[in-house]
Amino acid sequence: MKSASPYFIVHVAAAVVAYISFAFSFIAGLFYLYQDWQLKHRRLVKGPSLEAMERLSFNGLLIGLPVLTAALISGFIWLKMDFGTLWFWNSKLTSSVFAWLVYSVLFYFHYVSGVHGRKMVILSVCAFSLIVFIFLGMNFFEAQIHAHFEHRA
Amino acid sequence: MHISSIGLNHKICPIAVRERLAFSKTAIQEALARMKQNIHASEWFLLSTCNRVEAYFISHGTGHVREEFEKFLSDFHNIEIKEFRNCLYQYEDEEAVRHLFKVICGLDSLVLGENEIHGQIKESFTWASEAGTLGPVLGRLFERAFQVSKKARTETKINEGAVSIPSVAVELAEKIFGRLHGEKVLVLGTGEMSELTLKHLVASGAGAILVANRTYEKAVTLAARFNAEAVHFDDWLTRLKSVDIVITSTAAPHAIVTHEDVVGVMRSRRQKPLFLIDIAVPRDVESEVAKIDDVYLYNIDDLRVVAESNLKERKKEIESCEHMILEKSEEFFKWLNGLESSEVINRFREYLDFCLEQELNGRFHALPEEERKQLADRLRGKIMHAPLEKLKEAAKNGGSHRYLEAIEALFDLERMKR
Repeated sequence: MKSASPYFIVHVAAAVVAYISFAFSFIAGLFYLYQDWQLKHRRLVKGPSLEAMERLSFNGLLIGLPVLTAALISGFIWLKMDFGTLWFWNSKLTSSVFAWLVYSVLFYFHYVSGVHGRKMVILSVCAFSLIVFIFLGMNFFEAQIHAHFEHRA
Repeated sequence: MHISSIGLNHKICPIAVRERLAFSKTAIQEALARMKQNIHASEWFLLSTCNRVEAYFISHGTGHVREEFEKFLSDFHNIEIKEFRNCLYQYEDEEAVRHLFKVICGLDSLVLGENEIHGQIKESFTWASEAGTLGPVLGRLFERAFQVSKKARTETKINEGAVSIPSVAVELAEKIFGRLHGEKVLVLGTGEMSELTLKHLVASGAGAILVANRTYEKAVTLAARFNAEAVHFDDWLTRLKSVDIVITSTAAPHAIVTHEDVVGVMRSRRQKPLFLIDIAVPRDVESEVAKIDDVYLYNIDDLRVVAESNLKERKKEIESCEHMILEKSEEFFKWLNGLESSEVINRFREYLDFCLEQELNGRFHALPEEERKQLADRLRGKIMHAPLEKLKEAAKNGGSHRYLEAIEALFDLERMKR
């Protein structure tokens, strides 16, 4: 059996790192929102400060996006070299490209439109939720199609 | 032997008397030396904080420790005894030990469970040992007290959560910004509470301070005290952009920090969180401001609610602290009884030896020395046998104290000590 292409290995590793960073950012963001809610409702809870949570949440994106970019590029090279194509419809590929677009828009908002603080955290939490939703949705859709074709065969 | 605690505190003694009886740090050594001279006891300890003046003594027999201490206070501070006599409380033995343990755990403090008292007692302990007024009993007692205090603070929640308005403000600021490191503070309107809050924030690491007040001179005075910058009252809004924490306490009859102001400022500060502490009544900040993202507005009532709910949590811990104090005080007395009984028994033995020697050497000097010695040993053994057995039995039930006192009093063993 032919050994796996180095591009494929880079692609998989980078994608894993990217999604872990995004998940991390998502969790820190949720914690931030919980604390923000508590503070607004005159309750003091234990745990790290709001600023620390906001920073963690943003750093997750800061690491995640460049690594995801690397994952996509290596992925495309691998596709082109091994299959001679740049694209095929697959839940992972589609949602990764989608995620890249969403996070790029987020960075645009942050650096160009000046979105900071709570709004930025809300956007990042929503972005991650949306990506997970799209991925699960596409997986489900794919399963349906497979089932359909298998049934026909 | 008696352990006495005599003193006065914030509960019954008015500040006017307390401040006259307090000892400054520089006077403590001299005070201890004079106590040692004028008060008939074998160990002395003095504690003086802004909320209490308290002395601990180890005395023997029916002394007049209280009268002597009253006189000492009166002489030292030039104050008539009748002016403070009614404020004094006195605890003896078990009660004195439990009182000390309560004090060091912060159960007797103005702010329940505060930590400062532990350090203050530790400091006084150092002074007393430097002055050489501590002995085996007080030395051991305070050592135990430090242990109890540490245990109370690690195993119960007696010192958790801020319970005063300034400390709640600090806790909230840390919740928002993390450990404070140079956060900029703006003080709008000078006043006692705003100054106190500022003091707490600065002590916790807040940085550059701006002070604005309608009367500019007042701003300048407060600013001078904190090494801060005084700002003209018309300029505060333009400076708000760079500020992280605002303390407002103006006497204005209407809100002076409006929703519009803060929305504008937040945009220009890129949503960096802003913490507003409004301790003015009527309020200085429009309540709508609280709805703005990344703005945290707390008025005096909000701070009070947090403080009170924390205090309620602390109060729940009193019982377990007291339980622990009782346990630790019993442990201490077990040790003390052991120490005491061996001391009393030694003195009793010395006394018997003294009597036997006198009699035998006088009338029976014809007997060879060897025989006289044997006779003395046997007589001493016989006399001491029953009391020792009784003492052992009593010690098992924790009641040897009264027997020891009786032996000491009946045979007048006090004089054997000299």
